[in-house]
Amino acid sequence: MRVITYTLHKCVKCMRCLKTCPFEAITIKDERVLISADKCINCGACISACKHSGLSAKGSTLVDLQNYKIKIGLVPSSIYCDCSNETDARRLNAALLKLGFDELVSLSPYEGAVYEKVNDLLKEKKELYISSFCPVVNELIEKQYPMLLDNQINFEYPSVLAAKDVRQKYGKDAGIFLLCECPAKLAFGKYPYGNINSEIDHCLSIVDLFPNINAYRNQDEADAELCKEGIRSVACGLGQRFDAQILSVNGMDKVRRALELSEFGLLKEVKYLSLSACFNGCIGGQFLWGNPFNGRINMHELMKTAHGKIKNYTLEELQKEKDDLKLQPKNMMEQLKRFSTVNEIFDHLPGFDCGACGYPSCRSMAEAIADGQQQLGDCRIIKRREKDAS
Amino acid sequence: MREDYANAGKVSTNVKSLLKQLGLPADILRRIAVACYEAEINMIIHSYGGEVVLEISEEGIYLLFKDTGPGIADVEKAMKPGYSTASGKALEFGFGAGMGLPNIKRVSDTFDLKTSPEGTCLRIGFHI
Repeated sequence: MRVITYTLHKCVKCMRCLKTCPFEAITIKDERVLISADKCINCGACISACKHSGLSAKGSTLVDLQNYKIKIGLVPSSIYCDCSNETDARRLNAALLKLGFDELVSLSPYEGAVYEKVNDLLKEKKELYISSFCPVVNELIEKQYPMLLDNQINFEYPSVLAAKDVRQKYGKDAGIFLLCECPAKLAFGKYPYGNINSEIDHCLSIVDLFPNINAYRNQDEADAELCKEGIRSVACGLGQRFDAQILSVNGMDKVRRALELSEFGLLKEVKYLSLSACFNGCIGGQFLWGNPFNGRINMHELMKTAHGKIKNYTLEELQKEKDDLKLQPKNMMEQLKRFSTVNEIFDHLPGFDCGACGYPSCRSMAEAIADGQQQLGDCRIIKRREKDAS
Repeated sequence: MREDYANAGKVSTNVKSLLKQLGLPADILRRIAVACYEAEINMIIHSYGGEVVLEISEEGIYLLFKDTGPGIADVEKAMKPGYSTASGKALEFGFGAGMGLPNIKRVSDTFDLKTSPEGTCLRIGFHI
């Protein structure tokens, strides 16, 4: 499910997105951006890179609330990252209720439950566990680090667990709305991006709600349930337990380095690696109003007063339903042949990675030529050289 | 390159990313990655420099590590886990635990080591 959309009339063809995408998912054809559904993992790097809002990810809107008898909002702990104390958090919750929700379900007890349950797994002897409640990292491992799939802890996402609970309690009449702190989480719900098997009906982007929230903020107070463990799980590295050989890594470049090293088996001193693609964890999400620097301090403050109890789950209940996405073995010789063809073409290309052909690098251009989508003459530099020579 | 610790692991990273593109099963990939890394580090710590050759055929994947000396003084000892002749600088970087060669032998399917003062040649293979 891809959530990032492109708006042509806002695009100034600056090619920043082309260069930024860490997975070379973006190509430019006929001066239009194309996002490859296979390669994109919803990390949102291109959204931040685009200075003209040409790339964006939108959730459902509050209008969708009207379609349901009972309206339930799922609230992640990270939304409180701009609340400096408990009163602030309670005020924020009151404002959220005024948006039209009948009830707010805090995800904190679920986030905490999943986070804490990892400890049970750690008692078993295995070299390295990698867990992530970050859908971006999970997809990254699946796509680029398949060697580590066995090390991955296959727990269900907290929001999915919470949605199941709510559905059991309220039945079909309830509309379940997930407030999302990042683009990747927009893909969790039935709407707007069509995850049909999900119990979550709609995903809302927090930043789009902010004007409405601010209108009601600072008036009333309402209960905000927060758990210490839940806060710890969304603010990466808060209360890190080095004694238990648990390490949190945040930020895409560092996550990739950690995964790269684990593939060589070099993270010998680490038993459990907790990864999140955003800086400082979920509180660094693109859809949050506050910033991850203040957020971290605020979260630390909130942890002092948090007294919620985490949910209890057994290991079996937490397991994600298997959808067997393991890498299909490709025909190796065929791949090798393609690889050498690509290499041959690559040798002819200038190697500037200028992007003028619409591909992010000369190697990806070589791949496109090998697949017959492009020709060597489509390279602007080669064309220019030919012209100069004649 | 001798004692070029800053670039340690670059060759292995390249080999790994190439083999990933071929879509090999994860367990073979993991074994190759570990062996390649260990052998590369060995070369950096002990040799005067050398080259790595990757061969891919239908029977298997072969890695050839060829250096220009000074050779392994006592192969039997070197194959023993925990035996190390690594210099102070290597130890500083956290290398040289004496597990290199034993580890490589453990994870590889074929293991062929020839050494003389003119150079060492290690050829390891993995069946697919």
